[in-house]
Amino acid sequence: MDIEIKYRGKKQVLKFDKEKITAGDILKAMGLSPEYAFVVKNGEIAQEDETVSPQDEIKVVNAISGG
Amino acid sequence: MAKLKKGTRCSICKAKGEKEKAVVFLPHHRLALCRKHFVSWFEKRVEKTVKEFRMFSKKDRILVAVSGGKDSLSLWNALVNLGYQADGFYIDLGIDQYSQDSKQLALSFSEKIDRSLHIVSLKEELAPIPVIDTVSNRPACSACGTVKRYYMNRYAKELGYNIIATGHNLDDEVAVLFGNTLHWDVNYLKRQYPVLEEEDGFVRKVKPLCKITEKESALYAFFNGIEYIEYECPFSEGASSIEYKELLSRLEEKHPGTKLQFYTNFLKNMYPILKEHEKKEKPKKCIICGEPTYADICSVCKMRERLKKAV
Repeated sequence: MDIEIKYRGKKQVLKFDKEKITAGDILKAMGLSPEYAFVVKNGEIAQEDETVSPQDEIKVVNAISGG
Repeated sequence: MAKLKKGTRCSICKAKGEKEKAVVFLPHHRLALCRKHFVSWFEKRVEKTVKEFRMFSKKDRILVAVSGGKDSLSLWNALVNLGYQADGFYIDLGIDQYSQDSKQLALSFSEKIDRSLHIVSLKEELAPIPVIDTVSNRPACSACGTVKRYYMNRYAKELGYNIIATGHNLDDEVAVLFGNTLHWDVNYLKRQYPVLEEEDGFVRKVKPLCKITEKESALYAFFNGIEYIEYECPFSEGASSIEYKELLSRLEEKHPGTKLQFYTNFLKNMYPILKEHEKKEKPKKCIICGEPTYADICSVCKMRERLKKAV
């Protein structure tokens, strides 16, 4: 299943081998930890075990910044 | 971060007999909170930090160093909501699209909360960061920090503000503390306190978000609909602070509370010892610009000299 996400102002597509995808899977696929990142599904915070589908509007927020 | 179990109720709502579902889990505080109570928890924590370190009062005029990022905008929002007199100060660093975007976000936010935003252009004052980077032998973030501190301090005095507040959060402080401890950099360690008192030309500098994690700051921005610059400054790529933050987050995941403890115990147990042995050196005035410095010529004037030679 392909999931389109918005990350740091840019759109990208994540490809998964399975049909049931959770917010936690998205973070994992992007190499991000829930310790500093979270998923927003249709404008609301999605918990890690919450499922997402290609119809959902998904945004990933990574709170880490450097400098 | 430990997971929030399905159907968990907000800890505060539960205590009041209400049934609101929690959307945020803070394992290091053992709190599950709904949107409304997370926002009020955040603001109370900022206020408690301000009072704990005697940073400022409602009578003070505060200038918030605004970058357009989540931390500075969240800080500004929280201080205004808490009733403090806080205006913004933005330095246009001249970093192409990044500066244009972040300036626009800072401006829109200042209009939204109806507070003044003072803007200074580095290109007009000295030179944009990409040019400074070509003549500096230090990493870009280090030179950038020097010029930001200089203009922030100078303009705070000119504009009549007695407090400079920056959005440094717990993760920033812990990453710096970790780096300075790895190098046993005592001179930096003894300056790592959330308040730097005013003295001879330096305005008091404070960090009210020092006990707020980076994620808490991003969540607060999200819940308040604060639009901030989400992509990284192109010059911060590969910064060691990001590596430290990722490393420390792995520790935090296994042992919630590690970061907060590392920082607060440093302030409680180590900082007083370092402070005791400090030989207090009084700042002088830069012989060129008159701003406070510990050398004869301040770092920014030295940078200006190097820029002149490079042309």
